[in-house]
Amino acid sequence: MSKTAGITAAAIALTVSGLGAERASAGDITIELQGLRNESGRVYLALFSPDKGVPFPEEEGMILGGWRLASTKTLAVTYHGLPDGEYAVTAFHDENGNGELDVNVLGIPTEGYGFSNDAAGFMGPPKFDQAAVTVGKNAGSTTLTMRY
Amino acid sequence: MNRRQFVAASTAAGIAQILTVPSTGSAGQEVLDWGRDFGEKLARDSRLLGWSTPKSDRLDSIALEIEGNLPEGLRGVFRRNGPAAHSRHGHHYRHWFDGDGMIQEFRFSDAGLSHRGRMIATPKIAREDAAGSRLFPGFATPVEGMASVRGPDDMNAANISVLEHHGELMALWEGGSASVLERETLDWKHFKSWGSDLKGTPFTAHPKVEADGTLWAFGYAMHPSPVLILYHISGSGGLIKAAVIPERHLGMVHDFVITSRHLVLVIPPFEFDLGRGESFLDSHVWRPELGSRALVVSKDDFDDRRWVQLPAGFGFHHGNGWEDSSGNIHFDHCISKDVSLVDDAFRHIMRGEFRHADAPRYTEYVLHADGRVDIAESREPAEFPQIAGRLVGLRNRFVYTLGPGEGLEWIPRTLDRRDHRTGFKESYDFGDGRVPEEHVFVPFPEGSSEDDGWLVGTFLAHSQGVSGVTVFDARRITDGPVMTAWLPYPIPLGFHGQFSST
Repeated sequence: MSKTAGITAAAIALTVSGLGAERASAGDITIELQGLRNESGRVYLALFSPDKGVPFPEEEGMILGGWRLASTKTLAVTYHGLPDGEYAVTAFHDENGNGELDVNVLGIPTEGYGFSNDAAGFMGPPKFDQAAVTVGKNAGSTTLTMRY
Repeated sequence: MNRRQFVAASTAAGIAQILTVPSTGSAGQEVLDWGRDFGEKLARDSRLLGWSTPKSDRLDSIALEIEGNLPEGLRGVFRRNGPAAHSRHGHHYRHWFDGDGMIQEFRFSDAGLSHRGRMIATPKIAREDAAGSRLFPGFATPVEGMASVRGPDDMNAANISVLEHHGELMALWEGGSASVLERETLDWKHFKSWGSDLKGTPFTAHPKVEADGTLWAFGYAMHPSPVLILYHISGSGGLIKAAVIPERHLGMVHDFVITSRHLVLVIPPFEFDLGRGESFLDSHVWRPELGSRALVVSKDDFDDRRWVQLPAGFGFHHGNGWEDSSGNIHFDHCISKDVSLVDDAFRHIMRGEFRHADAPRYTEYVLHADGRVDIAESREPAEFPQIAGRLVGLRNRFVYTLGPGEGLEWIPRTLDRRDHRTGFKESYDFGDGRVPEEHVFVPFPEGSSEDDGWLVGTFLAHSQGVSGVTVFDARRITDGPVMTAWLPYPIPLGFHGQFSST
């Protein structure tokens, strides 16, 4: 299991509530997730805050996690009721449904993944600031395209 | 256009019609300067045709003009690979090894000899072509505004060699996966995965295939931390075992040898140091004080390993390795005293400068079972060693190499046949204006002796503005080629090939 995408199956148990594609309002973040290459398995999402003081995207920085069936190639997901601040979202496509982001022996993901703002790094994850979405007076929104 | 007409047209102006002269575009100033310098020098120095970019991603010749006879019994497909897309989208790479790979395929049939060249449409070049600009860093050229990189295969240039194994045709790189190609079209199909947790792991351009099809290979990766990867693959293409070996002091290692019982990897003290430079090559530091080291690994058990200290050196290629009845390991290595070739000469050639560098010398090693090491270095430069393929890992008498002429020692001019039994070397001189490339050994259909076979390879006749194919009788190379075939165009100097007999 890699820390690259900062998502583990154990963390998913934290919550599946708060997921929905309803109308957004202040305190919300809506993620337009696109680029799923097929409708197999599940899409795991995780919401991160920098307040926990751990490097992004280590799982200790995760405040919410959950999954959706990959039943369509695009998904809209909204997190509600968030305090004002900066957030980042990670997602991976668990095509084989084993509850994990599969990686090779070097720790490089072998399933699709992505970050809010379509942020990307060089041979690793992006910085939190690259993936940061602001929630304040207005709802936050971002695009997340799966990369395989 | 036939060859003679072509030769007549091969003035500087003629060459410019055949090859892409690097354009300038909006790339950075240094890139612009290198591309401009190369273009200017190409107009005055035909040798630079070897590092020029073909004007088309597809080259086709139905029937090559043949001198001599196409040998009866030599039937099949000879495929080579090498960097070709040096200049594209107004961007000019600054190292020979950066250019995207192009397959050169020669078909030997009763009808004669045909050629097709195809640029390999890797995901890298496909994404760059869609964007109309370079997006990914090369081996030694960073790219401004680089795209994100998930793993090494995003940068995979598939530009070093080819491998046909268990019916699958692959283009080989060394920084990432092998690329599976469609045999009929040479289209890129997918990256080869030898197992679910080996998807995307680096795979050498010099795998060793034993007579029964058993394949041994290695890879090296520097991210997220330096590791060697070893592969043991069956003749039917299935993974038997693999190992990942963390090694803090890991250098660039291009080739290895096998014996009947061991794998041997020579690790040069050209160490990766993340963050040191902007490119993969620039992230390496030459530390000769550490010396080179040979890693000896049991074929039966990848956990059974030992290290042998060697003098510092940097080499690309081995001819062969074998093990005697006392357990002493013998191998050869074409080895330089430093990294000036890869770190200097192979960079500056891309701005049209021919620089001196310490050329690899043919060097023989014995790693004795008791720990002693014997080294016999010849003074003669040698590169692209080849042997009769059925003897890989077994004792060979002959090795076929390329040697230089006068002038720059890293530019080949001769095909050499070395005889370990007599210690003699015979040479064929391709002459002024011609640069031979690797010649592979193809056994006679009914041959019995080690050297019963042909040597098949390409050459660049830069003074004539064309490339060609030569076939030698491996027993009598000093007689000259038994066949020379002429392409109506030049193809860039490449690296390695394989002949698949039919």
